[in-house]
Amino acid sequence: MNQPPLLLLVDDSRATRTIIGTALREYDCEIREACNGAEAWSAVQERIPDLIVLDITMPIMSGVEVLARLKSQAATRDVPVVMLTANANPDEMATVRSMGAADYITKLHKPALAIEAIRNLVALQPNAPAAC
Amino acid sequence: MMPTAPISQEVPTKPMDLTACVRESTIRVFCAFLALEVSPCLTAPTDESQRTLVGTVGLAGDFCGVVCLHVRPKLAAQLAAVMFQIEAADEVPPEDIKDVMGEVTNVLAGEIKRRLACCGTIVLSVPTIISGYSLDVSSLSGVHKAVFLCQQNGEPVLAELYNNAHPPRNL
Repeated sequence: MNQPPLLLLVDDSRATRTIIGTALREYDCEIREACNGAEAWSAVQERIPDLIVLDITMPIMSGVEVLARLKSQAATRDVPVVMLTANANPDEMATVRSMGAADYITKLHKPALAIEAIRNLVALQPNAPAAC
Repeated sequence: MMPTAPISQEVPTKPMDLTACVRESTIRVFCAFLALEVSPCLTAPTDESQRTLVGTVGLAGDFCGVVCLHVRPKLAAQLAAVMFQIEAADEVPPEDIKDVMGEVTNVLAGEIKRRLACCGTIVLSVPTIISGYSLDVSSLSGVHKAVFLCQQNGEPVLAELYNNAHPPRNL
């Protein structure tokens, strides 16, 4: 039996992790959370996720630094990364795209857009309805 | 990441009034990020017996300054209830209220940064939350302050942008 995809949500705001995590509840996937870049990097060392949603501005280690580390290592180079940011800055978008980010979404958008970005990159199956 | 009106990705390139920048950014963040309307008001609350929460985010690079968002605990709890999708605002734990204040201030600073793209490269700090009574943000001499005072359902909201050169380069 196939394991459900593992998604790593990285943001220093618990509220933002909760919003995306809640929106993902209807899909069969495993979710891990990290609240800064260093925690995210540790989580990746334990088990390589199928996709990472990565905030850019975080304490300890920024999302851009995590992205650079991911793309510099053969084992993690191909993990799709969706960058999450508080602002849609074209220069920043171009920078993270050139570093290998698969997508870039702003926090002002609806959660549905984040889910759409994730589903474009990893196959998510809807959860089976709960038995009565 | 809340229900929202369509978001324009347009980045302003023309010179702008910083007060208008703060006003439009605040209205947009409350509308798009929190699905809440704010309306301008002219007078600041004078009741100093109430505690205030202030979220701050620093801007560095080609535009240096700080964004401050002042609200009272009642509204901060309501914002947290909206973000965590909890019906009763008084059930939101204090840590989650601080988390949401930080995130809302971060998104406000991000929106201001987006509108100041013509200034050059700007980086944001992580947010800091201050809580206390009769809070007033002081600044060094020569610092310019742009302010937007508004209210959400009767609760005051004060958004401020301090910057140390007015007009900033390229603005």
